[in-house]
Amino acid sequence: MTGKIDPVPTSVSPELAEAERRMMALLRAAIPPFVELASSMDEYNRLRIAAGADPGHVTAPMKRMADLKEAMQAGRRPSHHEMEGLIHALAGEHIPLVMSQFDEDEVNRWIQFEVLTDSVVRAFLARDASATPMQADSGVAEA
Amino acid sequence: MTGDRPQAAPIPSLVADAERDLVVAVRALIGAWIHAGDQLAAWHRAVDRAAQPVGRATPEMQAVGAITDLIEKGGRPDREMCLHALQLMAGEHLPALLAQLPEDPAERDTVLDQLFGMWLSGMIQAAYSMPDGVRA
Repeated sequence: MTGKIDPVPTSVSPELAEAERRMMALLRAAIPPFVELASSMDEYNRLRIAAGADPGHVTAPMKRMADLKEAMQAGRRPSHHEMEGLIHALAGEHIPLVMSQFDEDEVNRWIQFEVLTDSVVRAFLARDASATPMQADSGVAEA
Repeated sequence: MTGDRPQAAPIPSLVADAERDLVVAVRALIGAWIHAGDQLAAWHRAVDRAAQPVGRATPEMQAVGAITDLIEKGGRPDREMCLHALQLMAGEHLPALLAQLPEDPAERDTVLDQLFGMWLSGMIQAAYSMPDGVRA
C-alpha cells in the first residue's frame, strides 16, 4: 500500500471502512506473487520449450497437470478425484483454507473444481499449442 | 494419476529448477489470494452488519463504485476508467503488472480486455451483487 488513502466519508461506518481497507491491502499484497508467478511461468516455458521437454516431469503438481492435459486432449473429463488431487498438490499447506472457499453444495463444488481445473491447466500450458480446454457439460468451463 | 509416465530423456537441470520455482510461486500466490478472499468475506460481513449496500471508504472502491454506477445507468466503462481503477488497486505494483502484458498491441488489448472483464465482473459481483458479464 502506498498509504495514500483518502479520509473515510462520514457515511461509511468505521468498521466497514476498516474491513474495506484490509481487503484492499491484501488484494494489493497479492499482486507481487502474481507477477512472480507470471515471470516464473514464462521462464519455465521458455527453458522447457528450448530443451524440447514435455511439461510436468519434475514436481508432483506439474505431473498431475500434465496428466490432466493429456486426459483433456484425449477427450476424457478428469475425475473429481483427479481434480481434487491437483488442487491439493498445488495448494500444499494452504489446502484447508482453499477447500473451505468452495461451495458446500456438492454439485456446485464439483462445478467449481471443474472451472478451476480447466483454468489452471490452460493457464499453465498456455504456451503449449496442443493444450485444449476441457469441454465441460456444465456450461461453465469458459468462466 | 501418479505421474509414472516413461521419460524419454533426462530433464535438463535448468528446466527442473524452473519447474520447482514455478510451483513455489504458485503456492505463494495461492497463499496471498486465499487470505485476500478471507478478508473479502470479512468485509461482506461488515457490510451486512453496517446495513450499508456499498463500501466506498477507499479510493479503490470508489473507482469501482463509479464504474458500477455507470453500468447501472446503462453505460460501459472505457479503457481509461478501467486503467484508473487498476492503477489505484495496483499502486506501486502497476509497472510490474503492466510489464507482464504482451508486447504486440493487438494481443495486449485483448489481454487487457480479458483482465478488466474478469477483474471488474469479479469485483463488482463480490461487492455489489451485480449480474455477471460485465465487460470493459
